[in-house]
Amino acid sequence: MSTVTSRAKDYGLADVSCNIDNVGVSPETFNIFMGPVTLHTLTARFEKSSGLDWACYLKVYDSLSPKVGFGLADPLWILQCRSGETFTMTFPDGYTFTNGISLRATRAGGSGTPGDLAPEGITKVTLLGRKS
Amino acid sequence: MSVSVTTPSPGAPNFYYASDTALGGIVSAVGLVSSTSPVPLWALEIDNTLNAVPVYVKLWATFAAGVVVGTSPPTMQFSAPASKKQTYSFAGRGPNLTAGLALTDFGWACVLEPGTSGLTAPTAPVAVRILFQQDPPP
Repeated sequence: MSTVTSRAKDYGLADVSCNIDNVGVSPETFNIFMGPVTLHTLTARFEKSSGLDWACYLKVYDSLSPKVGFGLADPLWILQCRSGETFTMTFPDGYTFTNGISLRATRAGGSGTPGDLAPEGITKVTLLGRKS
Repeated sequence: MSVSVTTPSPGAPNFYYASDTALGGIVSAVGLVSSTSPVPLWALEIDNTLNAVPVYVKLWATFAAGVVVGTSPPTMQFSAPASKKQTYSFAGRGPNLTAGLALTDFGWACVLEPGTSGLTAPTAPVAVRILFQQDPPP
């Protein structure tokens, strides 16, 4: 289950930030910025809680939803997140998402349904962007 | 055909730089100096200025020789928009490219399709550079 805990636009700021306390696999976190956005930073951290998996795979989509019909769209990015380590991606000039940003976190890389299970832990993501 | 070359980054111990002037749909190997330590990424640059369509650079945390582009699920994937040079920079250690296994190399390729499937090489050359870190062998 994912929850968007804050949005900078709620406070009248041009930049938009979102904290997602746990990116899920189903339901996924979809259309976070409510449409097109230029992304400036992405920070992610995975905390393993049980099981054997020492990493999760954060999948980032330029789409309103990761789902297409009964299938899954191909992700724009696939990021391996090792448990207990935080990383931040920065784009000084921004990376434009023409449709919107949607996220999923799974146990395996690649795309489609193989390994499409919820990670054995919590995946936290913070995004900072600017509405297009 | 392209060749990946790995060289130490001058003045920065344990940092290594690999480049490929025309990364395509056939997996290329990036050699590692340590077989067991993780490979945190620090920067990745994809020069897609010569192509009018987006491209996707895929990384596999496994021996490059065992990778089948279009079939093997990529460990990580990054994109470059059409006609653009895209730089990914990671503040601090970036995501780790590791399988928890002893590796002497990892694989990378550049294709037109995102996700697991697809092995269409870009029409024009795509130059890719990566900066990563490895602790010295024990």
